[in-house]
Amino acid sequence: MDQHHDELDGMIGAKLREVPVPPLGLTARLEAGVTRKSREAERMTLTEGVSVVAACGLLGVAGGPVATLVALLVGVAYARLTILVEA
Amino acid sequence: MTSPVWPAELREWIREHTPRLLAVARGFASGEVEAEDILQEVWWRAARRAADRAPGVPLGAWLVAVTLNVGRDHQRREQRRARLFQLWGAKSEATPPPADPVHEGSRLWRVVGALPRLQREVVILRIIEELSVEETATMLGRAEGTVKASLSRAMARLRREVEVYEEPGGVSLHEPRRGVSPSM
Repeated sequence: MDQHHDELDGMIGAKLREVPVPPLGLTARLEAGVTRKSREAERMTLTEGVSVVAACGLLGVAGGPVATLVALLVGVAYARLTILVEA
Repeated sequence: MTSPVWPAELREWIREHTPRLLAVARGFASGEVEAEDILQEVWWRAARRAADRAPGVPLGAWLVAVTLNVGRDHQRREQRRARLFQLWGAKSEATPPPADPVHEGSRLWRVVGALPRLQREVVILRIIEELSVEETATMLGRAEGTVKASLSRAMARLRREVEVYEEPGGVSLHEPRRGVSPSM
């Protein structure tokens, strides 16, 4: 029984180690896909960051010059943090 | 925060490791297009989480583990979608993976994906990376006995999923008629 199991385990291991030949162009498509998604994420993060800065600025305007400055600083810090985390 | 590996290093990884990961991805896909979608997600995660790889863990093993996770997520999504279709009385588009003997290894990967985490890691390190029991135990921070027992349990599960047929040139593995457990 042990010998049978060993033989079977060997075949299972060989099956798991089998490496198929990928379809033509697969790796190029994968590379292009990651590049595209990476750029999309970068664009989204920048848009998000700019929106936050603008929103904080507008809120700050309503509260006076000091509030504007504080709000803008908070907005920039948030945007910078988001970009760093997303990167 | 993760350190980005894109673009140069990731390109090399994609070229070197995609063939093996394709075998794993096929185990969770109902066709080549779905397998490619899974791989796309794998490489996206790999690019973003490269810094999460523990020091000393072989890149190939880490990527296989990522693929198993993405594959299981994909499978769960498909199962949820199928249940929703059933609930609405519509016919689901989700189909089981093709019963093609060429993909026998991929079906075994689906079983590996359903194993408990430690067993999965031991299978990847011992069978795919071909590390010794001692090396595997050190990498996982476990006792050698635990590694042996985990591999033994994992292989027992995998043996239950295959049948051996006598052939003129020897023996070969075939998918059992009852198929791979649908509970994964």
